[in-house]
Amino acid sequence: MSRARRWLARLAGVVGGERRDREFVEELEFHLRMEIEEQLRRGLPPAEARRVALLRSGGIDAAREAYREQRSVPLIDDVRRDLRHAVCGLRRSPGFAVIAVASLALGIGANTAVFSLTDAVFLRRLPVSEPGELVLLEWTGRSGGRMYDGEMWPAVRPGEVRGTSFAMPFFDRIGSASGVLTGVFAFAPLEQLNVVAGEDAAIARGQLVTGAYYTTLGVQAVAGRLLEAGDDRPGADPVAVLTYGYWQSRFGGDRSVIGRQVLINSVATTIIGVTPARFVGTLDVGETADVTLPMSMVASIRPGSGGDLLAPDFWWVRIMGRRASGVTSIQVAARLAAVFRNSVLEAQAVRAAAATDNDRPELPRLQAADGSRGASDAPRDYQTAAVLLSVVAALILLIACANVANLMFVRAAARQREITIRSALGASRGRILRQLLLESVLLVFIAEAAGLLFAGWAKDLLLTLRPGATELQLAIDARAFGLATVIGVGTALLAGFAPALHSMRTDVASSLRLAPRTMHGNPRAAGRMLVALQIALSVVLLTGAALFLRTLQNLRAVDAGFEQNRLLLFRVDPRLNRYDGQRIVQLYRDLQRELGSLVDVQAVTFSRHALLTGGRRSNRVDVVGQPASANEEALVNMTGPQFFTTMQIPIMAGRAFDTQHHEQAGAAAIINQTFARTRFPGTSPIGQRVRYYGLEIEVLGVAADAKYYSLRSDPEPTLYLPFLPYERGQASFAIRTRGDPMTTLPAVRDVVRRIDPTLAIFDVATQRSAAAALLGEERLLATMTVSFGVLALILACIGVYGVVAWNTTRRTGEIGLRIALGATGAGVLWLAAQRTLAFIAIGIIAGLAASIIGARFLDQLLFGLEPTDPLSITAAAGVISIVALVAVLIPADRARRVSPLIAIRHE
Amino acid sequence: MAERTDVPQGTLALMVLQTLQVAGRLHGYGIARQIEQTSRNLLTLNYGTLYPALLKLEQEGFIRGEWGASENNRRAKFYRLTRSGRRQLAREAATWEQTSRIIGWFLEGEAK
Repeated sequence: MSRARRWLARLAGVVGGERRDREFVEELEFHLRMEIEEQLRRGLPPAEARRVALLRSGGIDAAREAYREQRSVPLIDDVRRDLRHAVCGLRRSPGFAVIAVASLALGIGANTAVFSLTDAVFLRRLPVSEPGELVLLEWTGRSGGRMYDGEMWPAVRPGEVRGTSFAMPFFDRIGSASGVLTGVFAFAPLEQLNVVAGEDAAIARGQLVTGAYYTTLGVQAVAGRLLEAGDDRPGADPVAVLTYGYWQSRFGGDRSVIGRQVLINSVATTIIGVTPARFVGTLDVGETADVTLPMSMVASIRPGSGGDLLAPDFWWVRIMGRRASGVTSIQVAARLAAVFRNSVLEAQAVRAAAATDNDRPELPRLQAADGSRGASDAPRDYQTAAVLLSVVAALILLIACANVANLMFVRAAARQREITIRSALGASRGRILRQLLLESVLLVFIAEAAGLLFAGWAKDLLLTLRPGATELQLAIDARAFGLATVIGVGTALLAGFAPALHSMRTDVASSLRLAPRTMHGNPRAAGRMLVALQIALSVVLLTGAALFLRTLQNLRAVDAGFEQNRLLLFRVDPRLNRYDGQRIVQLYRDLQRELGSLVDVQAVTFSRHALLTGGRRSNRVDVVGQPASANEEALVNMTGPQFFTTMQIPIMAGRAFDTQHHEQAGAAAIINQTFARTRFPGTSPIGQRVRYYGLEIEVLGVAADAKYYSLRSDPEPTLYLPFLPYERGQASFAIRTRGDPMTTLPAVRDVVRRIDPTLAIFDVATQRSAAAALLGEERLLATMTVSFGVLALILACIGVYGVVAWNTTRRTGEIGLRIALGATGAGVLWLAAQRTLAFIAIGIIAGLAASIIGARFLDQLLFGLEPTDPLSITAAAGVISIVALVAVLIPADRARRVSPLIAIRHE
Repeated sequence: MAERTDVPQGTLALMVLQTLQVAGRLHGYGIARQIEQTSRNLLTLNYGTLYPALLKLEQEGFIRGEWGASENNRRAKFYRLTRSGRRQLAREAATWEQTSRIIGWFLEGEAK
């Protein structure tokens, strides 16, 4: 026990050491004085008394050392002293410390942030019990032929499409026919729900799920209860489950909302519970639901579409299930194959009657894919960007490590003399190594902390650049941070250790005598190699940055074909408030009239899809009198009165719709120039007829081409129809203002509230910001590559500077001698710079080669330029050449100004 | 660490404890003097031996040091036994007596 106590006391002795030392000295002084007095009493003269006293008491220093060793733990004490030493050392060369820390921090931080994002989007599994057992049903079939509506996208093999949408009847059948699945559920997103709680109407995102959703996933409520099979029966009371985030943001996490009734699309619905914070559902990133409703509510929530939703040819639900133990996904698919086949045949039977398709595609195949990440399509959409960012971040870490290694080499070389002196004075090898390593460790710790901060900031930045990802609740990924840290720490330690070991080996005497000359081989060559590598990587990154910047610039400069400034957009969906056909028409006319009477408003229109917001419609449109070719698709937009004047799209031929065209269907259509050129080659389209959904419509005019859903795509054939005779759904209003559109917004809201206080408007944005949001991925890539490119350049220049500066210092003597012997300034400059310049040249050439090879993979992401865009490549190489040259010349210039006298004496 | 002790290994703690038992409250110098006198000046103590030993005893909780004024009015650190120090002294004294008795028997045996 006393031993334990002693160790505790010793550990405690680690702190407060200075006070104890002082007290001990005082105690010793007292002792000595007493001794001296004793000797004086014996009659010795003072000097003699003191001598004897000292002799009797023993050496003070040895006593202090013995005392200190007893007082605390010597190793900890030593390390503390070394640490203080290390801090001093770093403070003495703040440039070195700041650069090394910044390099590592940026490298570690960037990697952590990018990997955390990649992980959240691609790798994270659903936070449910045993996610590996979940399967997501999907099908693969030949492309071409429109047997079913619903989402599909290119499969891995060309000519095939893949889909995860199914018809409700199919789900109903597998529910009973199963046996390979312990649970199965269907779910589908509901884009907008108008949730009215008390006085407050706001749009929320919803989803419909079947009764077994939560029980199959194994998710428990954090408040109230979740949906059960009983809630999904016809005639059951309408109930809703809230997602945690929505519960917090809309209701402030108030528990009393459970059991409360809210109006969801005018249906009185009881809130029954809240899901856990980390569970955001099985839908894709960007469509996650705020409110989950039972599938049985589909008809009341979406009035008018209930019949379609159960049709065999409307494929709109996604299906997931949990495998029974011992059952493979292949067995699941095989078990359900026959049911699926019937479902497809049923859909084809419905379609064959209505459609004119003459090609009958072979039947699609059913698979049970991995459902552990839910129905996430993110890998498809953001793969390129994510892979690219990961590569770039890894390159940055590489450059940062090269830099740290380089700095460490240079520093160790510069300290060669110090190390030698210390070891000559008797410092043990271990002690010196420990000290050097401690410096590296200290550096790395600071860098890690800074890196963590940077990662936190960078991940928020990434999220803002990637719209729709905010619900990812991105946390810093510990593994990513760990990995990046290990790499950084490894580099720093290795780079700190290698030169230290090297200098330990050198002979003390010769090193002291010849110190500035004898550092040979390793560090210099390694330093230059690292510089070449850094320059090459910088060239690659800067070329990428230039390519993406120019892409973004090109996209921003694209002529949209309409005036994007001073345009305020919002959407409204009166069906959510149970408006029917004629009331919707009246509402839109009222809104247009009232909004148009505001002082700040020049013109008002509405359309089914706002331009450049990503939404679109595409339908089959045939030209009457022309042979029906295979698949003549055209973009379609339903436009309200004054659409072309408000958007400022000129009518090139014929005329725009007038009042009567907005009253009755089938009267007139307007086509764009591309439609006219491709479908009516050589003739005037005015007065000709197109067939759309069985209606034959006369072409009234030709509008100038305008971008519809994307800035990237070339103009496609587009058909404009008057909104009111055709559409009974939601509309997007566009208001041309006289001043800043956002200042008009309060007045606009007032107008809407006056007309119907329970009507929620959503997706409020200026046309400019909506179009900018379309460029999210491009902006992300441009921002990241430019910041990473600049970072790489800075790091590389630091590397260059360090190598040249070290080289100059090292050769001061030689340079001085040369100057003394008559070398010219230019000659000396060349001498100091030539080797490094050669390595920089090698780096640039290697970097250019790598860029040209690597840029091919960026083809899909670029716009308006080739991957081997000469301007971008030249710019990148040019910038690097100039900056690197400066980084060489500044330290090299110091060589020119070396005073021969001082230099030689220096030796 | 160079040990230059003239005190037999492992006995200094016992001597310090016993000295404090007898004297009550004593500073380092006094302890050294006392031990030297008790040993009839056969032992000499230097700082390097005494003070680490005092510190160790203090860390173990057997003695406690506090600052006070010395007989000639100087600031000095005085040590005294704690309760567990007394117990330790009894234990060590017993152990030592036994050891010396055993050693004594051996030496007597040798002598016979």
